[in-house]
Amino acid sequence: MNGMTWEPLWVMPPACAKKTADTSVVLATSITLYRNPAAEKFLDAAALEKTAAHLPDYTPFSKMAPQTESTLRCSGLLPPVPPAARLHAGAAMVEADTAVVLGLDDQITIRSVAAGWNCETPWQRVRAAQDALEEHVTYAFSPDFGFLTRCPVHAGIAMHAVTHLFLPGLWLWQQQEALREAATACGFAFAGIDKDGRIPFAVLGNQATLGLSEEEMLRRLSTMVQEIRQQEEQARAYWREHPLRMDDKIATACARLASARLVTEAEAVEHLAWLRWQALETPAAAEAPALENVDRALMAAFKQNGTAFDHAVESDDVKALRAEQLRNILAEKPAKRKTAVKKKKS
Amino acid sequence: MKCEKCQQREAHIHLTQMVDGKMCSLHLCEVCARDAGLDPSGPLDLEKLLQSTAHLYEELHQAIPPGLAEMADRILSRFAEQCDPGAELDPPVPSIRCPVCGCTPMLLRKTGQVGCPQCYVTFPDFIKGYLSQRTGVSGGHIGRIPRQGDRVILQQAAMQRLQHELDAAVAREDYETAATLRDELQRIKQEPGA
Repeated sequence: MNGMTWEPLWVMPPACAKKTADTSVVLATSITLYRNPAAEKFLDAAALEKTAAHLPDYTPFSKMAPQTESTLRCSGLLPPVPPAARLHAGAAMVEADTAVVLGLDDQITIRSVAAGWNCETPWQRVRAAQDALEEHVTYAFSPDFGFLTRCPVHAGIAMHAVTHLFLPGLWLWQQQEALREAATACGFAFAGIDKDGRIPFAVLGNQATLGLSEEEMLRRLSTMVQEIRQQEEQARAYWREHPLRMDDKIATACARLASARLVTEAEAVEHLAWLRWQALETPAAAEAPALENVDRALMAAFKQNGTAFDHAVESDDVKALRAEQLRNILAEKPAKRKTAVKKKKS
Repeated sequence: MKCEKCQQREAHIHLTQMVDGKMCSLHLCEVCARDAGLDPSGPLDLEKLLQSTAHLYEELHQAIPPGLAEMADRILSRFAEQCDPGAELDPPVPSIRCPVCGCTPMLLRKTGQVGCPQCYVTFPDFIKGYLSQRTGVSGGHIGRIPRQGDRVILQQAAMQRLQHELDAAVAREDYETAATLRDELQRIKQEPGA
């Protein structure tokens, strides 16, 4: 795609560990800024070293512990690192849920993630990180093109705000294409996380970065998110009144995860998505898994094979391990529920 | 009809154009055409196509006929229509090279990337057209401005932003804000170097 679109960054709410956030429709919000030093070639090795010197916790990927990299990626702070970039690129956590990555598509990538619909917190954090770096680095900038980036379609505000949505109601209504068209008409990109459009998780983010200010772009994104949220809530209300198709999806997912011995990553995420809906709709039902368990299982499904579905063919051992792990997580009783039952008895 | 190059296989690819008012034709088999870089089923590459057709004409007719680029454009558009009906051809690419990194507009079109900030100064119009084509955006930058950098550039950016805010204030008939913005704009314009 010639770097024309933002990568479908994926993040689950547990990565942010903010239990107060409402993640029933919007799972997480992330903001990314792209910057390059002025008067230097993009991805110049010497300039990269100079910038890295101003980041106290900076670690090149070649020296980074796999666990640290995995944590960064599962938190949604790190996009997939191509093998060619591993030699020179690296990252530093500058604050909780905020990281600066050097040497990927652009010299400096600053990203922050928050749970639920919350663009204000990540926006403040990336701005703070950008301002702190600006004490040492002069950013490449032009009055016409704004902040200059390696890929010109990112020039301008050089910022991508992305929301991660959970839309089972609209998915069951087969509104994916309508949502995509509506988002495109408003200057946003909307895409499901799988090619087939079976999994009701989606990402929505700004496409244009030139011709409107950061605040205006966030305001438009906010309007778009609120509209989608409202539509999703209406759809869920409809399915509550006419639950046959919803129940069928959930029952199929339950049966598949309970009995399957081999589960691929895409299957796991698809079935868990419908279980997540069940956990949200009927949290008190005895047969419904706890929301935190479903989210944890989703994280586990992703962790086993990274964040992309386009990976190499999995072995049966991996699929079997995943199936077993998912059964175990879903069978666990959540701590909160146990306490509630005990209190009732007493 | 036999291929004009190998004189053995059947010719399936026929190129025709007018040279000095006379019809000039070139008939090639699929193998020779592919050897020359002409592959209707493969990815389209205007630069390669131009080079290969020029090379073939030179080899077979000992001269590069005028208007070759137009002919190649026509062939390319026919191939493009076959591959993606309704697809429009990109506008012509200027032959400029960035003095710092060596990046060209053609390279930008191929990779979607430029090599350094100087590229934006070397071929700004091409980048504007490229952006307009891909994102539908034609306006300039009106967002945040860095705190440090070239004073003249920052001043120009600040003036552009103020002008945009002034236009917006006038459009919503907020004349009080518009007056403040106008004064601010005047003040910056009077600063040395503006």
